[in-house]
Amino acid sequence: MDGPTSVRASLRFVCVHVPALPLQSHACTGAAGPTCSLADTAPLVVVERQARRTLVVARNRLAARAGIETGQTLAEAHALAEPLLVLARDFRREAALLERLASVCAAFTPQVHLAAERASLLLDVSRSLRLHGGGEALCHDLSEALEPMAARIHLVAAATHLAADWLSRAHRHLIAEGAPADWLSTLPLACTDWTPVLIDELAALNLHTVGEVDRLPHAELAARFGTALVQSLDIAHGRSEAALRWWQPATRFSAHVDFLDPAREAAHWFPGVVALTGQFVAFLDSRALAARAIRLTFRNGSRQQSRLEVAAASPTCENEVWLRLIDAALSRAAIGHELSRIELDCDLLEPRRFEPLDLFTRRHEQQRHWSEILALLRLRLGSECVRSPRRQRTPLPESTDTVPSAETKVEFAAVAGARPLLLIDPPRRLGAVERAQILTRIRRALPERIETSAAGDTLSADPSTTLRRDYYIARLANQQTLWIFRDHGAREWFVQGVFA
Amino acid sequence: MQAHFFARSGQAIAVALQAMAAQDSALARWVHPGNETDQRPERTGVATGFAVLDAFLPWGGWPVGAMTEVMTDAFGAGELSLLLPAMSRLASEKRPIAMIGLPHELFAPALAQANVDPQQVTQILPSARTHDAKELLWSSEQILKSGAAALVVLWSVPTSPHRSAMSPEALRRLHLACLGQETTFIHYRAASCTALPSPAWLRFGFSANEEQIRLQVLKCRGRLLARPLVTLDRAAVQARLATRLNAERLLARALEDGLPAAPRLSHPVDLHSGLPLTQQAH
Repeated sequence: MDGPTSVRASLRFVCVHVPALPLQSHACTGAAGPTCSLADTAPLVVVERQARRTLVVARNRLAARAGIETGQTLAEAHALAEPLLVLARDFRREAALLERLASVCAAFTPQVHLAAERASLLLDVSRSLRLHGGGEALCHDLSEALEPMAARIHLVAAATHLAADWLSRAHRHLIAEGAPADWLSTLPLACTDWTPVLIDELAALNLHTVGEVDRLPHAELAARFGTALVQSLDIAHGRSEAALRWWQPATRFSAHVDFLDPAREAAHWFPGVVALTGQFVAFLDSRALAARAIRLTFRNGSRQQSRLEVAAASPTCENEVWLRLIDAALSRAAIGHELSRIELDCDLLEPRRFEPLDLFTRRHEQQRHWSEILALLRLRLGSECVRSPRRQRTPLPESTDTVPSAETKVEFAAVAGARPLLLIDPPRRLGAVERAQILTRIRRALPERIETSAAGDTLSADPSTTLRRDYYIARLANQQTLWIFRDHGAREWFVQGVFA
Repeated sequence: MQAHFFARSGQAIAVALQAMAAQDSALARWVHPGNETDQRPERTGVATGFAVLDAFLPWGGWPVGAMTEVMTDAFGAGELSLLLPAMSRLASEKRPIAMIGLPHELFAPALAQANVDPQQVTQILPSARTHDAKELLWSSEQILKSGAAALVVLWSVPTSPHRSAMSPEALRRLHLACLGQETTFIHYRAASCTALPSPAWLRFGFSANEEQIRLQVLKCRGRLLARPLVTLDRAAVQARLATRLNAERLLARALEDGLPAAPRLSHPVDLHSGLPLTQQAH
């Protein structure tokens, strides 16, 4: 193809570029991390080990003012600014920041491409432009949504993804409407994603802008510099298409907060929990998801670790609900050791469901509130303390059956006799004095016998496994009415219920 | 001129009447004539299941959205059975019931015998941790504030010496949590707390003898302070137990006096089916 053709195209792509990503990934953890304040008060550089040298890959404003440039060695940086804060480049942090940004962008379009090596996100907004009222309005909304996530971003809308990507290196905010060639013609080559070697070779030929390169015969360019150069020019100018691999949102949430110094007091580390739940809820909001349970891990290095499982009554995405549940769970299982890290994980993600509104009764709403309050109480008090009255598996009233697998025979039907409202479990053995007082108050004529046997109907097969009790009702002088029994095996009297 | 004068004086009278009316309405907010006490409040209560009690209470039952206190030292004399008819009704409407701090756990068969669905009842039991009264109060307050439960029963009768009486501030908080909700709140307190002030709308002193359950009304909002005594038949309150005790009594008497002669039957009857043997043969 000799000589470029002018292509008139509408806006299709938005590029979200994070300049100085290695630095911003340290500074913006979603919570107010310590580096946020340090980055503004002292020269700070992020370094990366390359071959045998430690090179500066990002620096803050104070370091730049001191003359430190990216690509310098750490020794040179130390020579220019002292004291100098030095942080190691953390690719996981960078990826996490981009993931967080992508999860926010996913609310605007499902087609988000994550270009980690370019510190950019490319959004195909061709189908959501009209919804947001055009490129300007969409970029404004996007900028507002991303503002809390990153300290500084560049937002550029253009007709092609490469044009948006390249232009984002030179412009902080740009709506490049019209043909890409109009905007790319004066763009310096340093803004492209071409290799430094190629850019140097082009510069040696007195080619310094994209327009100057694009005006050359493409066949000759391909022959001299390879087809990749021509291909990228064609893609950038919209003369050919390139397929992008769209980002797939994570199916689980996992985040953590690190503390520089071990924290012991809850007042010191609880803000970390608040920050994590804030991130978690933002994650849920961005995908219209809800969660039923989360897991918090409190670590003190590799020495100590405490886990907290927090379950909600129904899938929820409300920060207040999670904080309330966590607070209740922490009041029951206090963390007794120092913390250096808090992790929040969630695997049980569900699509958000909205129940139909019942305008006439509040029954459904009340039932939901009741489930929520029970979940809260169970977290704080323990599920053994918050429960419905136990269903009986055997005619033995107590929960701990002495003959668990017993076939049971009841001489009087279990429902025939009166049952006490309150059950003493396990039964309390009557002392000698108490027994003497109570036994004068019962009539021995009509006991209700409850028997269990391991041998089915043959109750007398093995006396050691047979349980035989005669139950009586005793009304005492103070009008207290008790349910007592005599155990034939132990030959003892027990009290098992109160007719309250 | 005369017409103008009448018009002026008419305006003055109208203004004076408006001022008096405004003054009257302002006064009416603060002055409560005694005859208002017999007027029934707008709120309806939950029927207690005992006609005498329902007739006495201004709400037609247990008050909703306010605290009721039952002062008792009795334990095992039918004090909780007093609530079973109301519990049965609420449970049949699938409305949740919370029983907080009972000294022992509820026995599901006993609830079932009283037509109370045990699934609708949630008990918050005191444990090693919840022996701390604060936890039980916190639970009560959370449930009351949510307004999700139809009936909340709090048992704060000290069963052990280390549990002290509830402070007036705690009572006030519970009452405030309850106000305006669709929840009936019954609070069992020790009889020794009778003399202590309370924001409850209804206060009873509970006592029982062999035949009766006596409810001494200590305070009833909307009624004159006459401290009437409401007496209930204990057999009606503890119906299942009374039937059982009655059967025991009859059997004991029969054993002492001998069984009365069986009535002579004109036709022999099958003891299991109750049908005449001749009919069964066909």
